[in-house]
Formats: sequence, structure tokens, C-alpha cells
Amino acid sequence: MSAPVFELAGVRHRYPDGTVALDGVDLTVRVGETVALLGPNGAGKSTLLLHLNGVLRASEGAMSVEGVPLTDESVGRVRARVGMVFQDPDDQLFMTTLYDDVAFGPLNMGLARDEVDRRVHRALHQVGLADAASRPAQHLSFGQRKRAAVATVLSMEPPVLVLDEPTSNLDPRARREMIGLLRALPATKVLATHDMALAAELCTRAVVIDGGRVVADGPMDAVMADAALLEAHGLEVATATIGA
Amino acid sequence: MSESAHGHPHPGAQPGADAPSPGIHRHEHEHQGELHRHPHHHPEVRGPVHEHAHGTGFERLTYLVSPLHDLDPRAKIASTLVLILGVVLTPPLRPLEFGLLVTLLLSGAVIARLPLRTVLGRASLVLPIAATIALFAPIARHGGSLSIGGITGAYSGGGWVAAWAILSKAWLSALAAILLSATTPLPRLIRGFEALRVPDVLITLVSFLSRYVGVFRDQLQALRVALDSRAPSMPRLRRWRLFGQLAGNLFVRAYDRGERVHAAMLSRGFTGTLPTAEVLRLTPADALLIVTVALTAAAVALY
Repeated sequence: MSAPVFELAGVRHRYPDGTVALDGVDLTVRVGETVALLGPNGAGKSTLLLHLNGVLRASEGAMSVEGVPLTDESVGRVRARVGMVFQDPDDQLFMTTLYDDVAFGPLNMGLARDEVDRRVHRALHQVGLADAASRPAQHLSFGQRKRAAVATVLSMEPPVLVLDEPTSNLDPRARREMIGLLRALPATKVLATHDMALAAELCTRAVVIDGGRVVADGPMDAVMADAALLEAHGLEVATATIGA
Repeated sequence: MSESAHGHPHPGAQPGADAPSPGIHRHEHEHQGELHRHPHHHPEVRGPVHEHAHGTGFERLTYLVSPLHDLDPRAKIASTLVLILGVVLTPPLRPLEFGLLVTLLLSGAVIARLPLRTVLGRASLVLPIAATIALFAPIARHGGSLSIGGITGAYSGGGWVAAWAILSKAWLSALAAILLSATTPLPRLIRGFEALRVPDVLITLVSFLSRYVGVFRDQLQALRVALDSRAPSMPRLRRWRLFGQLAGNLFVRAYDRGERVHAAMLSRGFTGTLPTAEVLRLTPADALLIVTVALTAAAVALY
């Protein structure tokens, strides 16, 4: 069994308004896995993702990343190791040009300029947006912005990627491009999604959460086959593609 | 925001031409009769033509190729500020001085290959605002108290001179600022202010404003459409009252977005300053611009 990337034990998170978003999550993700995080709206998926790189901290419970407990001292290193792609690309692309956005992470890591330049190139080519480097984000289409958001994280060359709804609001072609892009990335991946077909296609393991707890965790096939479980948690079996 | 996509031949793809160097490189291309240049990033040339797009309208002007566009943004910012300072400090401009300054600024616009009508039109947008203020000068001249008689009365001469000073100075300052903003792409302009030690907070504010103003405009538009869809025949007055609630709604959304953007920044190692990749270099041409403009401003202010 490969080394653990994320180890969560009894993680609870209570927002300042009193809402308990995570109510004792136990979860271990190992190197090389591609894990789908499934669950209805408000189940705590996004809150859980924000814990994985330390933007949010557990109110109770323990969490470690690559064997190191998450603390104020380790959080900087964790953020360089765990790339986080947010659902709304307008949240992720905040600089005045795409180039500056993709260079933001590497520059904050203190890399030399030519190394930053090299990484920005590679990341933009990986997502097919090299030609758009000098453009502001508002001049990109939504599909391009979604891919650009991935590039802003790829330039940091993280061994772990955490993605929130990578295919939401994409048209079929842009969705297909995103799936192809994600499939080609070798990193360990955790992705929260409502796109059951995407989960079935990319992920080997499914974790279902509801009410802030893990209610199912197993191989993708087994979870997908459990229609009663999916139904109980507001999900549905990936509808078969016509002709497939 | 509108944009246009177009293809153009890549110089590196032509036989015998130098291959484009990896990293930022700028090359010129023609687009609807205008010569453009801006940074490209494509070390692998995939064919004779590569596609790219950029903003249209006023923003398009900042991509034109001219000696003025090539200058360091710091030099242009400093010159603009010095010129405006000179114009503001001088006594009411004599026609000759005014003519000299207009000629100077318009020659700048011609050198920068800017369409004069656009430049003059934009500068004139300041006139209605300046005119409101300028009108107070003759009114206030009437024996020290506000009186409409000042416009035509015996003491009105001095008032009208002051009004002319306000209007002409506002228009010239606007013209100078437009020359700056039409010859400098916004990211470079912000980079210039940053290099001139403008506080990080202001730089971050302006960067985010330029990035998110379009996002919020779209959200406001969506709210208005939603309102129109559900209340197509609402009286005008009630509609205006509702706009207050829309503004509140927009504020809450902006606040939420601010939190999410901050989380995205933290996730990529944000430590308090926005890093930018572009390196600026001052050339003799930049020095020449600053000296010329400083002398002109001093001459106008002191003569």
C-alpha cells in the first residue's frame, strides 16, 4: 500500500455562525489515488476540501498531510504540495493577466524568474492556453477560465491536486477537454463533483459524504452499484451513455 | 467585455526567420490596418498562423506599436504627473500657452498613432464636470457673495477668466492622462505605479478593481434581468427603490467573493504583496521624455 497523503481522524468543523459542516470525518487518501468526493449540496464537500490544504482548520480532530500534522508551521509547505482548484474560476484568476495568475504561485514559492517563466509555459501548454498568456481573465471564455484555473495550480507542480467541481457549468466539449486534461495529470487527485459520469470515468475510489460525515467509502464500481445508497444521499447512478 | 480573435502569421514560422525565443516575446502583427504588439508565450510554433485575441475599444489602443507605447510606464507616469502639476500651478493660461500644450499633447497622440477623435472625445468627458465647478467662479465674483449677476455683471470679467482657467486646465490634464492610459496596457501601468513605490494596498486595490469590475457588472445585469422578468410593469419610482436592495445584494456577493478570492490566494502561498513577472527597464528615451516634459511644465508654470 502506498504512503498516505491525507489522514483525517474525527475532523469536525464548526463555522462561526454555529453550523457544523463536518461532524467527525475519518478519511485516508494514498499516493496515486484518484478519489471522487460525492454528496448532495450542503453535505460538507467544499468545507472538507478547504481543510485539505489548511485554508480551514479542524475545530476538533486531527489531520496530517504526507505524514506531517497540519499546524501553523507546516501549512505553508502543505499549500505548496497540495494544489487547490476552486469551483468558480473568477475566484482563482485574480491577477490582471493570465500570465501573472499562473506565475502567482511559483513567485510566492520564491522561485527564480526564469524558472517561473519555464513553469508558466509548461502549465499553459498543458491546458492549451499558451497563446492567451497576455490576456486578462475577463477576455477568456468560461471553459478557458476553468482550464486556466487548473494551470494556476499546475505551475506550482504539486504532487497532490484538490479540485472542486472541475466540470460544473461546462458545455459538453469543454467538459470533455477538462476530463482529458485531468486524466493526463499524474498527481494524486481528490475531486468533489456532482458529475457522476466524470467520477465513474476518472476515479477509482468514491467517498460519499452527507451531513458532514463519511457515509460510504469504497471502490468506484461498488459504490456506483449500490443504487439504494446513492438514492438515500441525493445521488444517482451515472446514466449510461447512449450507444456505449 | 468584447474581444476579437484573429490569426496572423508568426514570424518564427517563416523559413529562415529566427525562431521565437522561449519566454515572453513580443512581435508585431497587423490587425484591421493597425499594427499591434503585445507579449506572446508560445515556444512551440504549431503552424504558420497562431490564434490569439485581445480587447477591443479603448483597450485595443494600448497594444498599438509606437515609440510612445515602447516607453517605460514609470517615465510616462512621472511625465504625466509633472505636466499636470505644471498646468495646475500656472496662472490662467494665455492662448499661446494653451495652444503650445495642446500641440504638444496632440503631437504625442499622433506619434502614438492614436485616433485623434477618440482621444479628444475622451478628454472632453471631463468638461461637463469641470464646467459645473467653473460656473461658480463668475457667480462668486459678484461682491463676494454668490449671485447670478456675476455672470453678466460689472465684475464678471475676472470670474470668467477663472472659469476659463478651470476648464482649460481640467481639459489639458484629462488629455495628458488619456495619452498615458491609451499608450500603456493596464497591467504595465499598474506595474509602473508599483515600481514608483505606490503603497501595496492601493496597487492591490486597483488590480482587483480592474479584474472584478466586469464580473460585478455582469452580476448586476443578471439581477436587473431577474427583476424585469418578474416585474415587467413596475412603476419607475418603485424600481429605483429596489435598486437600493440590488446594491445591498451585490455588496453581500462581493463580500463572499472577497472571502473566496482570499482563500484562493492563500492556497497559492500569498504573503501580502502581489508578485508580478514583468521587469521594467529605463532607457535614454525615457529620460529624454521626462526632461522634455519637465522643462515644458516648468516653462508653462513659471513664464
